[in-house]
Amino acid sequence: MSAPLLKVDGLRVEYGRTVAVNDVSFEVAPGEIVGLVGESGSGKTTIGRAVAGFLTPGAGSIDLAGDRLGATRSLAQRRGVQMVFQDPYLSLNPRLSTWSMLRELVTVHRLAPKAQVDDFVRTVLGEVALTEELARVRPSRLSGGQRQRAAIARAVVLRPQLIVADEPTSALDVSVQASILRLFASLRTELGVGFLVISHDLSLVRFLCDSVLVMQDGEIVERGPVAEVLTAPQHPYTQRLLKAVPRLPSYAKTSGNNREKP
Amino acid sequence: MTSTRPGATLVAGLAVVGTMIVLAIAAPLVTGHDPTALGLTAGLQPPSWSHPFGTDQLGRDVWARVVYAGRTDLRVGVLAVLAPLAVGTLLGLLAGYFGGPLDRVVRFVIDTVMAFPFYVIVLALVAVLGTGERSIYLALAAVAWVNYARVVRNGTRGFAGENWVAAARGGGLSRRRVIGRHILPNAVPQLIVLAVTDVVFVILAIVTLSYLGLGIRPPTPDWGTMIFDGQAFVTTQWWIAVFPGLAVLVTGIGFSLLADGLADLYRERD
Amino acid sequence: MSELAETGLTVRGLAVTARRRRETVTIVSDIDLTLARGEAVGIVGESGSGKSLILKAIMALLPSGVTATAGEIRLDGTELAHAPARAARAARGHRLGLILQDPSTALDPLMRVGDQIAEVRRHVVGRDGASARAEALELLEQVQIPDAAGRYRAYPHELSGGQRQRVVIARALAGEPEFLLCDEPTTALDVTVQAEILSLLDDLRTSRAMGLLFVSHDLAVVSQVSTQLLVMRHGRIVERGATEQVLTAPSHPYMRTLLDSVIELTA
Repeated sequence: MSAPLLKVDGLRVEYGRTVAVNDVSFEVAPGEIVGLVGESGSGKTTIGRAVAGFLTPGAGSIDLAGDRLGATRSLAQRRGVQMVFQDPYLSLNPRLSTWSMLRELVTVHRLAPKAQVDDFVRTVLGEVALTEELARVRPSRLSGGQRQRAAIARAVVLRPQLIVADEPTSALDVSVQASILRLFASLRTELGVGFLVISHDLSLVRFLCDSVLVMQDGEIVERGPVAEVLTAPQHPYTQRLLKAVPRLPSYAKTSGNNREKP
Repeated sequence: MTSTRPGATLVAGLAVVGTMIVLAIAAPLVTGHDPTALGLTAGLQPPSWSHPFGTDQLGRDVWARVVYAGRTDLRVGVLAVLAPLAVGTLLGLLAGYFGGPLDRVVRFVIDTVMAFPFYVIVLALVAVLGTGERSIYLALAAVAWVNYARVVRNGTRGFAGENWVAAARGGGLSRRRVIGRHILPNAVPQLIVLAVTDVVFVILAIVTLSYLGLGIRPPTPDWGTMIFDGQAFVTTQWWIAVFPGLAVLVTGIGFSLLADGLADLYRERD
Repeated sequence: MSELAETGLTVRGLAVTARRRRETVTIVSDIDLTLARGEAVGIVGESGSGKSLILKAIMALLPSGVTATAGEIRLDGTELAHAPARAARAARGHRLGLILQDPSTALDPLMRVGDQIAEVRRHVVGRDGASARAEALELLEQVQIPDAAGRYRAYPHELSGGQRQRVVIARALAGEPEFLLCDEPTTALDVTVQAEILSLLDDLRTSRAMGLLFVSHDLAVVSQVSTQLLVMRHGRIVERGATEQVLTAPSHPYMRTLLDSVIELTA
């Protein structure tokens, strides 16, 4: 077993007097996709924001590749963990094209020599399958799926080690969701980036993730490989969650394509 | 809701304001008389071919004076908006982005200044600072920034909670860059509309101040002093006060149309 | 089909247009649907397909600038658009119930939830104060709110999202609607709560012989509650039929795509 990419130990976050996350510990291996599932108020988004550095935990530690991530992070540390948000309509600057957004990040982080900035941006656009033409317009002219690709490009351009994705497909149409998830899978394979995917959707977790953490009321109640947890759940809450997932009637003729892991 | 063609307001505003500005710049070309030249034998003449707006009690050509006064009043009006725009925007951005004690202080000052009627507080300040252009700039800078600060602060507060700001910070961009290059451009359209609207209020304030003898000092022509000078004759020689009054009215309407038109344009585009 | 035999809620040739800038855009066209009592029709489609507008057109709740320009909407053969405004409003308020996506904005925040239901019993059904309150309590029990008597006096913000949606459903039922129109009623809710609300709606449909019109973007959710399915794309119905038929033998390529993009939980 290789050293963990992300190691979260004894994480605790309080909002005023409510404990949102209580003593949570888990690891993400390099190139692993870990799902964090639970219902609203379970604390899953809070964990994601703490890992991404958007809030300071009350207790516990977060290490990325053996490097302790404190309350204030260096430029390199911030690059290491990037976040993709749920609603691509609210997570892109309305007045900034994807192209300018990516160029700015490349320049600030000196990711490429001046003459090669445009080429680097083109490479990243290729990785998220967004055309240069689409990258040159304002986000308001893009579809939901295209916006989410732009938001993913913003994370990928920094060559992070870990991407935290918070409900990355729940604001998108069904026909677009699978393509975004396949993009995550290909980024993991091609760039070796690890993912912490926060979702309420067990089908998504089954489709995309290697292992899963089930959260209830700020605590992890069950964890393990996806195949085990979602076929033979041990904790009553996981069982209830699994039973509640809306399913198509068994007679429905789906292609079955999406049953295979991408 | 309006049935008028989008853009019609903007075009009308641009036409009126543009005409006023062109006239002011080309003042020597469009007037046949020196605005300050006295003609003691030619006083109080009604509008005629040689004096289209008539002459005042000192025999000065009213058309020339209205046009030259436009030079002064438009220049001061536009310049007096710039300082409050800059101060208000900066404070609004900082208060909105950082929140906390700074935000509380800025909001307290905004609320305090806004509690006083705009013209009353400007008048009081100019009275203390003395007459003249410099006092007008200072007084307006001290008062008018609150509108910009309030609008920018509220906008920034909203943006600061949005994920694209979080993502920009998480992407390693400095606070300064996020505020200046990401948040500010989103506030610009609103600021432009507000500034253009403000020009109307500022010109009215200058005219009012000059009318009260606290503004532009004679002999520099100015609409406010002209209206004051003409009001003694208003029942007999109406043209002396009415033409500068109309100039103020047309300028006000022109800038208001321009502001409305710009606001429609930005709304349409988003 | 003879007009005499026409019962239930029927929509024929409905078109909805919007004015944008200076042009008129058709958002929804050629909509035909029939909803009988005790039946459940599901409308499924992606964002922008116009599915919610059908529901809003039936309820005469189209936003300003958007109008129903063609077609007819009938209740048991009576055209709603041609009925006098008061009669049409009475028919809509009394015989049609509406449930929207977000339960947090559907209730009056300053009024106790029980009173909001009792209000409908009094002013729409015409009960006196005491029986209106008693019946409101019964309705809260019917939608399976735990400790209904205690919850009667609660304000909306004191309830969870799922409980609020139950109150919204109880209030819709208070008007004794013959047809219940639901627009994404579970989208804002957690999956476990969604499952409960879906089964509640299904029970109510059969026990009260109500017609249910259910709009959602989620094919799995719609197919759980619907006997008939309409699939919409770009403002038109591209596929229709009994739920089982549509899911087993889809004829339109778009329905095929939609089915294929469903990520399935069961391997």
